[in-house]
Amino acid sequence: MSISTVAAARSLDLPAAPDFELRLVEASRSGDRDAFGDLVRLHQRRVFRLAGRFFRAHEEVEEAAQETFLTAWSKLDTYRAEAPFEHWLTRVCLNTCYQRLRKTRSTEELPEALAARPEVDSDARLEVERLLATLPAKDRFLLLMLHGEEWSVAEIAEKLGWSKANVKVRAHRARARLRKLLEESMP
Amino acid sequence: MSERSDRRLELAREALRDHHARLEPDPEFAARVLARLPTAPDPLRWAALRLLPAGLTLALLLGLMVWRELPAGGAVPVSVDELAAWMVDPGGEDGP
Repeated sequence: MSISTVAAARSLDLPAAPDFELRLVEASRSGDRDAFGDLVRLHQRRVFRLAGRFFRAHEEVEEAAQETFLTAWSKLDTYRAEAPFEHWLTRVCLNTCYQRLRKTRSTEELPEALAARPEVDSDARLEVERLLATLPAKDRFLLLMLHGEEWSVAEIAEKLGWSKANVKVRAHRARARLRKLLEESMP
Repeated sequence: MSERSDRRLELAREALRDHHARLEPDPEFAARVLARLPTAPDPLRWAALRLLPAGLTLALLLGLMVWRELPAGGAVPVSVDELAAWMVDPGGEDGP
């Protein structure tokens, strides 16, 4: 695959041919930064989109995305080509976002999306968003995957490399905590 | 009460669905990542660090061997030549 084909795939967010991607991975492993640059360009939109699920501020999304690729570079040796590179990178990105969420305080951000959606009950929604931001990071992380990405328990387990039972238990606890929080805060 | 609670839960689900920055990387993103990649370590420094534990272990072993082979009575090599001769033939008649 030529560089122009890579560029075209990049702009359309299409997957690169697996053998070409594998060659880029192999070259990156041996220290070829240009090859790694091509890998970054191939996957940056996907990584940005995923990081944007957990963070809203541009700097935070950028930082999480950069950290994902830096981690990928340092751990390329652990990638086994049995699964697509994209799956491995998704796991790296999710783990990076999880670690970053755990480091940040539970009450950041909020409401710019509300202004764009006048049909929602803004006061109630604002209050609910404020409460969501106070949930522990591990709960928000799971709830965002379940209700934001709309991934099933099995999908989350597969993407994170956790057992299904573990995800199920964590999801149950997160939902229970959310329900309790909403009920307790009801005026 | 239950209806309000359900409504709030639905709002929470909506909020989780809408929780997205919707950002795209700019054209310089990859360059910024590459600029942050760690530089290759200096080969001499790398080799020194890798060889240090092996070197220390070897020195320790040699020291131990020498100590165990030292003749009783406290007679120790007095010069480099004598020490070299003794190391080649520690049990020799001409030992120090």
